[in-house]
Amino acid sequence: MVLAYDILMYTSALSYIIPLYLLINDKTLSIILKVLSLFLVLSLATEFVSFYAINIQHKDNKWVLHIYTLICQFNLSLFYWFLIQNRVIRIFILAFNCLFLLFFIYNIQFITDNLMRAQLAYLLSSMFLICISSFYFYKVYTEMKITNLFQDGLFWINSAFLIYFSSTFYVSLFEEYIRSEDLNLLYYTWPIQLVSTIIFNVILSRGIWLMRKQ
Amino acid sequence: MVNEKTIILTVLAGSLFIVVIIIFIFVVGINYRKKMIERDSDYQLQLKNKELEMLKRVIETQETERQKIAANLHDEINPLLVSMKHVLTAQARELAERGIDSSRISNQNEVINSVIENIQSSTRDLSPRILYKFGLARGINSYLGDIEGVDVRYDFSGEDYLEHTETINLNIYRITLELINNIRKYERITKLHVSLNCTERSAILRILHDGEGITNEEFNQYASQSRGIGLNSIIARVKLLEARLDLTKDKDSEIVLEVPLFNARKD
Repeated sequence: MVLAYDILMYTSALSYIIPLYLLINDKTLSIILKVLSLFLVLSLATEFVSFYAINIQHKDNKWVLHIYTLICQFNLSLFYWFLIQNRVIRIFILAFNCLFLLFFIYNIQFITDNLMRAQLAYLLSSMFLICISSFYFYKVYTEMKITNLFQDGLFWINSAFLIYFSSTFYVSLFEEYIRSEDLNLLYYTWPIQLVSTIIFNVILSRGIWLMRKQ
Repeated sequence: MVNEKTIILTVLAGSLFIVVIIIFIFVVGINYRKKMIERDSDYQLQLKNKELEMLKRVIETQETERQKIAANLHDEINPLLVSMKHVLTAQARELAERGIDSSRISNQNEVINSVIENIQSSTRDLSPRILYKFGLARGINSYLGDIEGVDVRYDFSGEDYLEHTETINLNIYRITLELINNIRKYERITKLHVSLNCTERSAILRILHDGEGITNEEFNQYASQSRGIGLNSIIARVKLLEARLDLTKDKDSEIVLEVPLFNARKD
């Protein structure tokens, strides 16, 4: 059980290398792919830092989740800022990020439970990213500008974000409760997060590959 | 205390949740593709309708011009020639009465006769009055009646279905004439069998002859290479009628033109 979990964990962490490899090989990246590259590099870095904190230093890695939440929120907001060229949506992104920052500061200042405050911010960020990726689908569906949707790189990249943040949102909802009951139970729920990371990176790679082809 | 069953249910629900999202994305993609195909076919239909409308206008203009030329020839040139003929006949008679040789005038009279006949034939081609007055059957029959040196047979059935379909009748008539003219021009034929069978749904014209004939591919090849009016006019009219033209090459060569009639009452 533990071995299977470990294999899944390493596979999940290393799966970031596939889309990163595709991006590094391309010297003429668009601004959207540059933002995406930054997100992947930072995500991979947080995976390593988290691994280092737990396995080498034998310390708590909850603070890594804080950083990861900030990376997701601001980096992916920037991604959708460039992707959705709509004035109203851009104002919404800007306003939400300001509010999120205020919430994040409040969270750190006033919520004492370390995990709880990280989880709250992550849930909020996930909700925002689910909404904005769904809006992108709506926009694509109503505008009908793309000839073949399944051959469009951005469709796959957006799908990857929707799948990833929906599933991690689901896991995060129960994580706090499970951790308080029995830490070993995380062996059951956490694989959802790991599998969704692998799916995310595979779909993302497909999207990047298609964008490079275009 | 959380039991294992609850956890397993949570995991299953989580997995199901991921699957549902993936299915949702695929449904969005498939629906999008369907919508795109629908939009594409709508666009194609619009293009086709535009093209048909343009063809219709071109052919209508062509027919109007033909009628104008036919009317000019019939009403202005023909009477002049006829009066000229009468003058020459009178002069020839006068000269003959005086005992002078009038053979040159008689020769000129024959030339004028021939010009009048040619004008009448051209007028009939340009504006087929028989077609307008008595319908497609009599129109084609009249044209076939003038063909010499070929054993011509003509069958017609379902005439009633071609009432109030003037545009269709005129286009079928023009196509038939053009096809038969081409057959006579390029093939040595001794037999020609033309049949026109009309039903509520379609009018089927068959031209059977003992010439070498051509296939659909050869016809398309000639049409794409040709700069003449004839073949292109056939293609334009076939398109306008939304008809099907099928050419086969065998012991007896056959040309089949199938014209749908279910929209004919719009004329």
